Amino acid sequence: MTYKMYIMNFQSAHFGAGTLDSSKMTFAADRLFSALAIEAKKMGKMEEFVSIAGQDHFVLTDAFPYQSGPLLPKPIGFPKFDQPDLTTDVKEVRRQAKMAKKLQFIPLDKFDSYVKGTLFEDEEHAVTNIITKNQPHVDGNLFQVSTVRFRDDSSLYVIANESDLLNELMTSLQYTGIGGKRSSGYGQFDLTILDLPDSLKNRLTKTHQEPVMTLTTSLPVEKELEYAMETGSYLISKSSGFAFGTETNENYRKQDLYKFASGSTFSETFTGHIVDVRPLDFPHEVLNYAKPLFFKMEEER
Amino acid sequence: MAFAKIKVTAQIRLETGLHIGTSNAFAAIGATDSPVIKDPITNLPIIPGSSIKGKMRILLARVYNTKLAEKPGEDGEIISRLFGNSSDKNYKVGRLIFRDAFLTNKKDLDSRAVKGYTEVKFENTIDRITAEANPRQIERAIRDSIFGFELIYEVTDKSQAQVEEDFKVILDGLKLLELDYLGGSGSRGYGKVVFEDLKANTVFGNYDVSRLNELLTTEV
Repeated sequence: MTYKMYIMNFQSAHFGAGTLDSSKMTFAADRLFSALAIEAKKMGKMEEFVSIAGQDHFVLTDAFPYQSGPLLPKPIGFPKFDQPDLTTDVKEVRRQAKMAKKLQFIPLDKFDSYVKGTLFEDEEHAVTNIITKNQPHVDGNLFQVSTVRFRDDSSLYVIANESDLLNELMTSLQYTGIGGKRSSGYGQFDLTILDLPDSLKNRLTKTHQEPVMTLTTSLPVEKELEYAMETGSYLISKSSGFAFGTETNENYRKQDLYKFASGSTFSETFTGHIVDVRPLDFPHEVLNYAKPLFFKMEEER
Repeated sequence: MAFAKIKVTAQIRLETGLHIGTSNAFAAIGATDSPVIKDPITNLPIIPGSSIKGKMRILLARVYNTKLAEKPGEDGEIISRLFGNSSDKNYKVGRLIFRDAFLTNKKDLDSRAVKGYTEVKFENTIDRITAEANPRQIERAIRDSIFGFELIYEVTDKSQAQVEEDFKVILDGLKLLELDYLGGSGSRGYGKVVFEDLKANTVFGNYDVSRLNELLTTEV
């Protein structure tokens, strides 16, 4: 059980948010998992990788920014406004609410103070811009690609359980890239593997009966779903799109899958699973990674 | 199981000004009519990977396609396997990965006291009947800028036997690019590029590139 931080230093990337002309700054674990699986298939290590991924100790998290230290997603539903502070002006309260809404990621050392109610401005990690491209001499073939250009001191990191195969796949993935429009040069990165800082490592959990925040866009198994939805504060994120396969000439769409976005908070942990979202009568399985890793909301005393 | 990735690196030097346009939406107000595409962080001109890929593909398609392909989806086997073809199940993703080329010789240009990294070229159109001039301004990345070119080639079981053949095609592509132009307005002198220091090295897996390096040094 050695968790490591895989820090990926991107120059420019396209992580589509459902369309070509939109791009998110980070990506969910399923995107990385699928990229690793395809990479493994080219090496002929597909079965090995899928069997490792199916084991309990394998974890992946979504990508979060890394800027001189790891950042975490904003815990949904926090800070709790139980007792409204009557001394402050209503205008000020609204201004702070807007600020909290815009905040996406929180540095690790400020996490606990945020939960208690301290607000701060989000730092800028990347610039999103839209590039117009065309196919010359063809009428109406204009399209726009949204790209994310990371600042020089910003990278993304994922937490994963170190294994030789994963290191090999990640090393190879540097040159293939991750995200959209890879063959035009988006999404390649430089990899560094670091140990986790203790303050983060001690709070990662998969079995914990206290309030937790998920670090992976994940989906509980059927029998836990109801309880998780009753007691949690969550956002739903849709993952869908075309299934990539080399055995059909046509492109088929995957089954839509709705999951809890990273940063969702629950009263206790659940176990996720890897969902098969293959289109009807598709020749091979299409796996969507939805196993969570949690972060304890409260420090151990 | 053969699996390797070969990285081809080169310096793209501009022999004449280069204009790769972009949408006007993000240009500063009062800028030129047709700005060149720039890196949003450093504000230096870049050559997008998609420009190099598209230009190289269309040039090679004229050489290697056995029949006239109206759409990229109808390209022949050689082009499809390198660049990808979304309507052919064997080549949904091609073997080549291009990369944005960023300006690498900023310091050198600074030392030569250039005013900016782009120039504004004034041109006009003369009406044939009234002889009236209709001026326009076009922004260009300046001559002697050097961009870092990078290309990843993937060796798999399928492509193992065809590596040298593929590299001959890539070389032809680079040669054709030098004889053609990159970017816009090429027929009036823009976008003449030269590839220098062409090198191949294996960045992942094991593949002996000495033979390929011989090819690259002799041919260009």
